Amino acid sequence: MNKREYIASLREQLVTLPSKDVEEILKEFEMHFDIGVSEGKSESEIAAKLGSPTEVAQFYLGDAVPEFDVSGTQTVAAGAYPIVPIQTWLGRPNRGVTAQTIQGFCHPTYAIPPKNAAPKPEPAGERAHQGGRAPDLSGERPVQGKKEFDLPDYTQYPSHDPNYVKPETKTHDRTFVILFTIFVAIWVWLLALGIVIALIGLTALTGFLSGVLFVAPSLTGGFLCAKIIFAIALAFMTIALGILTFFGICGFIRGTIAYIRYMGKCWKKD
Amino acid sequence: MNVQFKKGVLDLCVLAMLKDSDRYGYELASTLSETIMISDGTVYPLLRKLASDGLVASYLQESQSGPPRKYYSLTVMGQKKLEELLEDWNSFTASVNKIVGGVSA
Repeated sequence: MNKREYIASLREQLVTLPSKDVEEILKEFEMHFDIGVSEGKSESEIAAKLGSPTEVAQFYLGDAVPEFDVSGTQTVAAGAYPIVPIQTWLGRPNRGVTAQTIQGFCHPTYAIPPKNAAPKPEPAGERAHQGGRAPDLSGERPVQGKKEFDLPDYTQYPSHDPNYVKPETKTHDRTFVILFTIFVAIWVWLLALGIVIALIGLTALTGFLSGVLFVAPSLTGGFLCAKIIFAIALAFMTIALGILTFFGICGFIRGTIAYIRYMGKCWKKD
Repeated sequence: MNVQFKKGVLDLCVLAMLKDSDRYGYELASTLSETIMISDGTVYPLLRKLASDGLVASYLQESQSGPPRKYYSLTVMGQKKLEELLEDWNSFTASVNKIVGGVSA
């Protein structure tokens, strides 16, 4: 896979992200390729080291965790990971390693919410009992008041909570859109349309005038040289106006389409 | 290995690499992929996450030899986070070593 294919594939996968973010992400990958190439690597080599676009995209979309291996083979796994609660990972609670140590260390952002498994609050008494009975290998007593084991705290990152309900994103309400369209947008649009038409007319007029002066400078008699210079000036003005008109029309069409899309969006979301 | 633990380790690695000097993405990616065997491509999502959490900042810089590079630097918040993570890491490994240390393979 070369750079172009890689970027295109990544772009396809990231389609659900805002386009501004996608551009930023792709820019970075382009730079990665460019630097690699400037160091004498081939594009396909760089692409292979990056991992497949599908896998990379999943990290951006937030449903994968990098798989790394300190022992040798390079792997990137993506997608579903078994959810291992800290308890099982450690085997047994209270072995001198407090959950505080682990939890503090683990970035809460990365807490992957266990699917439909809300943490079952353990009765305090039972916990204390268990704590007292478990063999204390480190010789340290657990600090009183410190929670031993717990599932991730979602208060800081509520979107990771399995029970989190995404709040409705408030877009402009319909009345606002209607009023804005009637009192502002339509007039701005008409003004822009007027300017565009005026530009087209002006371009045509200057073009016509310079044409007439070129073709028949002697028709009106006298001042031949001045008329030719004037015709040349008019010709250049026509070119300049033509360019201006072209961009004006482009901008006008784009703006109109964007506004129609925006209204459509408001309508749908409402 | 535990998923959260892994992410925490990667955070720590990236933040630690940025402690003394700013580095560009390619540099971070190739160093990390050489030492802990992750794909280069996983480093960028991680950097983006760290940036959105305000732990690192980025800026674009032209280089004399080659294409422009996006450099990452540690923010004040990132420095704090690094200290925190280091402390956690040290106490965590110390605790594990207390258990594992006495056992010979």
